[in-house]
Amino acid sequence: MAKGKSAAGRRVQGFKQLEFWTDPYLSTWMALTPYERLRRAWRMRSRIRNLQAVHDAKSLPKL
Amino acid sequence: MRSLFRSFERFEVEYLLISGQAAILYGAATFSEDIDIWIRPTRENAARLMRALAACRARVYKLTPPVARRTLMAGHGFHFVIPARGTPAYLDIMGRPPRVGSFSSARRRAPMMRTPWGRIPVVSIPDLIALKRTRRLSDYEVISSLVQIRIAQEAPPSPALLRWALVNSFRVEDRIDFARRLGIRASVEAWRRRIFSEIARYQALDTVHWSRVIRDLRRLRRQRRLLLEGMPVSRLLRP
Repeated sequence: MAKGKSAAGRRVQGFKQLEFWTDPYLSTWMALTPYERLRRAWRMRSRIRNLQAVHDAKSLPKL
Repeated sequence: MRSLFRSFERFEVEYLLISGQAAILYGAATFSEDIDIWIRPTRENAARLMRALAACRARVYKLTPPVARRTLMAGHGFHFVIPARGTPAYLDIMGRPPRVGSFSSARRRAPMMRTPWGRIPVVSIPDLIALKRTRRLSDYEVISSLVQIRIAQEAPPSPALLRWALVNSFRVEDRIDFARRLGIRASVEAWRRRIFSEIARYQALDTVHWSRVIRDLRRLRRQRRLLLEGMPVSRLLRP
């Protein structure tokens, strides 16, 4: 078993007929553990040029 | 971020991780720029939260009312910034998010997940789906992925689970698949029309919910009762 492989990732095999699971990017993502997904996603924040603007646009109400 | 969640544990804050980071943990999203937390909306828990935030040197961010039982129950969002290595972390807190029941019920359904931030209670998939029925169209793609992930947890899925998936998925091809397994026949066009009208209805309900909250937020701002942006949370603690 590769490091970081999740139980859900192993179950993916049984659901190959559905598009969600056959998308190569998504199935790779799903094969990771939740721990690994969060670690990678959080690391991506540093690549966002203006994180504050992204957050404000999404999370703050327009008064 | 580990220190923030350790601080929650140390001060015994009752909370759930919701929204984007929860969707990432389940695998239905790949990025979220902030951390959303649902806390038990009691005065005692709010006081514990503020102590935990102060211990992490959090500061008040924009448009944040005082964290009190009334503002928690009114559905407000409370925004804070946590100093972190590299970029600061934006923390959005709610005491009564829309479309979900009580905190206690959601907490009972929430699994504990092992994360880089420690073992964290994460909102369940059905509750996360209810939270994600917002005005943002991209949230419906996340919901449909969450449905697929929930379905994959049971092999083979029971008819009850398939019926649940049928009403919660917003992808035409997925609905057709769930309906076929349940012996229901409908045309692609019929499913498409139905999905469009359901999304439009959820968007309208979300708008109604937030316009009420925004009205209250405007009133608080007029009365100069919003917390001062940039203020350290430690200064809001009662001695």
